[in-house]
Amino acid sequence: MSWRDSLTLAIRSLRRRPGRTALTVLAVTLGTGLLMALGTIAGTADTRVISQLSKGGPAAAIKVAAAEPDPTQLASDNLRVGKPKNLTDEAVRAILRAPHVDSVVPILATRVLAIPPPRGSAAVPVSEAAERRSRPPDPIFETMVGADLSRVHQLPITLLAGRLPAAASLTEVAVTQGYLDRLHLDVNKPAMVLGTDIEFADPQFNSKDPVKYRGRWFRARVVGVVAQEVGDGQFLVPIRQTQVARVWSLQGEGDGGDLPLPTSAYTGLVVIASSLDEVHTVRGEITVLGYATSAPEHLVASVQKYLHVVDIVLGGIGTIALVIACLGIANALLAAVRERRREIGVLKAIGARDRDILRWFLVEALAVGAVGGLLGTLLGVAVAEVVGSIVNGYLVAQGLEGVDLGGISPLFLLAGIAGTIVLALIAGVIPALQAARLPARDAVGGA
Amino acid sequence: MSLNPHDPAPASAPPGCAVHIRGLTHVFSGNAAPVVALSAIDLDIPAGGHVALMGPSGAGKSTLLSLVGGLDRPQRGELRVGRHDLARLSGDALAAYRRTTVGFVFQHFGLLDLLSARENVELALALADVPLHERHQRAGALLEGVGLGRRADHRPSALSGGERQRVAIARALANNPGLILADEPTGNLDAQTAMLVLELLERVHREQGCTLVVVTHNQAVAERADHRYLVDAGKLVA
Repeated sequence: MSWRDSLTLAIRSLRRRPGRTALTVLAVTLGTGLLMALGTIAGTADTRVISQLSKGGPAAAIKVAAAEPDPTQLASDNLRVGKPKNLTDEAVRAILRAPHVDSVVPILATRVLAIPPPRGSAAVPVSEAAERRSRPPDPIFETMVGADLSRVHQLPITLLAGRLPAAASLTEVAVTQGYLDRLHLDVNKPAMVLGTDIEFADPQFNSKDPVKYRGRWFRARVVGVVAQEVGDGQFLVPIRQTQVARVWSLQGEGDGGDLPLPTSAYTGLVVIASSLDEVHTVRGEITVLGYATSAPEHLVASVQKYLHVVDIVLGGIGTIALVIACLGIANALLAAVRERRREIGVLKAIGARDRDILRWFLVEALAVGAVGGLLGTLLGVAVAEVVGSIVNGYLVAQGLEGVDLGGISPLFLLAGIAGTIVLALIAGVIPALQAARLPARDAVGGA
Repeated sequence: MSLNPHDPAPASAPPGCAVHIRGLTHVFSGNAAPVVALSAIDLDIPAGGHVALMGPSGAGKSTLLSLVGGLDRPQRGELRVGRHDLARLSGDALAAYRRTTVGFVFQHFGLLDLLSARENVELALALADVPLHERHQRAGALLEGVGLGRRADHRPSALSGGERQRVAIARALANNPGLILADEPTGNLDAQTAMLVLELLERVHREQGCTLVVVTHNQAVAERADHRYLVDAGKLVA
């Protein structure tokens, strides 16, 4: 008897008892749905927590400073620096060659004088506009952080409004919430600064000039508001912008006056380790190369342990529900074996082998598992979406960033269906063996 | 109409199987005391013969039929059907024997109500690994042969008792058996339908040359056989 014949028999058998079949499938659907929903929610929560700890960047990111390391730095997540030490292209290449290093993103921060938009622009609340219009704008002496924005997914940057500056642009800038705070704007309404222009001046020191500092003036448009941990500073620009500023500063004469000359090619690096487990090893390698590092490795590791416990508990609850549902399959099949005793005898009398009977019952269990697994997976995703939207509503109401469940892996969904089928098959083994071992003489029973 | 699904080639029908039984003993041992179902049975049925087994309920007729049909293994004694020594067969070999050599007809018809009449016949062919396209054709021919061509797509529950038994006979013939074992084939039928079914079985026996063993309580049914044996208390009396 072929698999096709077994499938026909199994489906017809299930249709003969529609109520029992529906209840069994429903139990499997609910069990799978619960497991999938808990798995999805737990997975999203884990990702969100780790993302929060790594400030939006990869969890395996390590920040490197242009300074020598403190001897005790590997025992701590925080930056413990020694004497300043230039970060050069050669150092970048050396780090990149180290084992377990996926990539290195250079950072260059420079000091700038920034003049916010004129008073009365859209960036200033209307009520204050008239009062402030009479005064000239206050300049801000701040740090501008330059990074390779084409690799933004490797950097601890979270976009709050608008977009990031184009990777090659010299006329676009993103600001932080600190900038809004400094202008006395509502930090919860970041979009109001988008489209405004800021005048910047890179300083150049000339000891022989009567005017000691000269500025390289340029204007940049605010295209986005970000939360960033790339470096200390309220302006984020493509690294090309700060490299031009550094060259300008170095073209001056003297020691830089009150502003130290930017002798280091980079003020920092973001190094991405191949995995979270390798972060400590990579930090050790960078320490050997002579640079100070920081990474939330100890924090992430301990939080991960707690998250793992939560995952186990939630997964356990879902698995227990699914196992109970599969026991339902076993119970339904055992009842079917009792009911079909004579049919099984007749099948054997007309030549069915034990394995034909075994296959009939296993295919029946598989069909229930497949349908229940598929429906349960869909139900689980739907439940997770509903829970996600409720949580999102709460987070947004609290002024926090929402969660995104859109990244449910197809592999996870397939694993849910496959896992249910495997459990259903396991549940079907005992009834199927019992059916296969029934004696053929039962066919003549009751004659 | 011929009952041979391979018609027109009746010459290719397999000859009936001779049954040779010597000292066959069978004991049922359960929780209670052992029950001797058959005790030292000796019986010879010639190939193509028509034999009736009679006797009261619990005499051992059905047990003897089960052993000859390979539904159970002989515990003691010699049991040969055609070239098969049933004491030496087990598992898949015994299933293959039932599939290829024996055709069963039960009092309770033994049809699966999950399947239509045609599908019930096809199931026997499926177990013999007959290709799908050939199954449909052969099952149709067999049902035509028993006069049920128009009811082929009905479920057994929609058929009368006589029609069900005719479907069961068609299924028994699906794999051209050399031996047909009928266990009270008319037990659940009225007298008129019983005669029609008996005539059908006898036609099968005549046309195909297969051996026919009928277990019955009915004297009239037994009278139609070439040889009659009485089984009582596990022994072959006459």
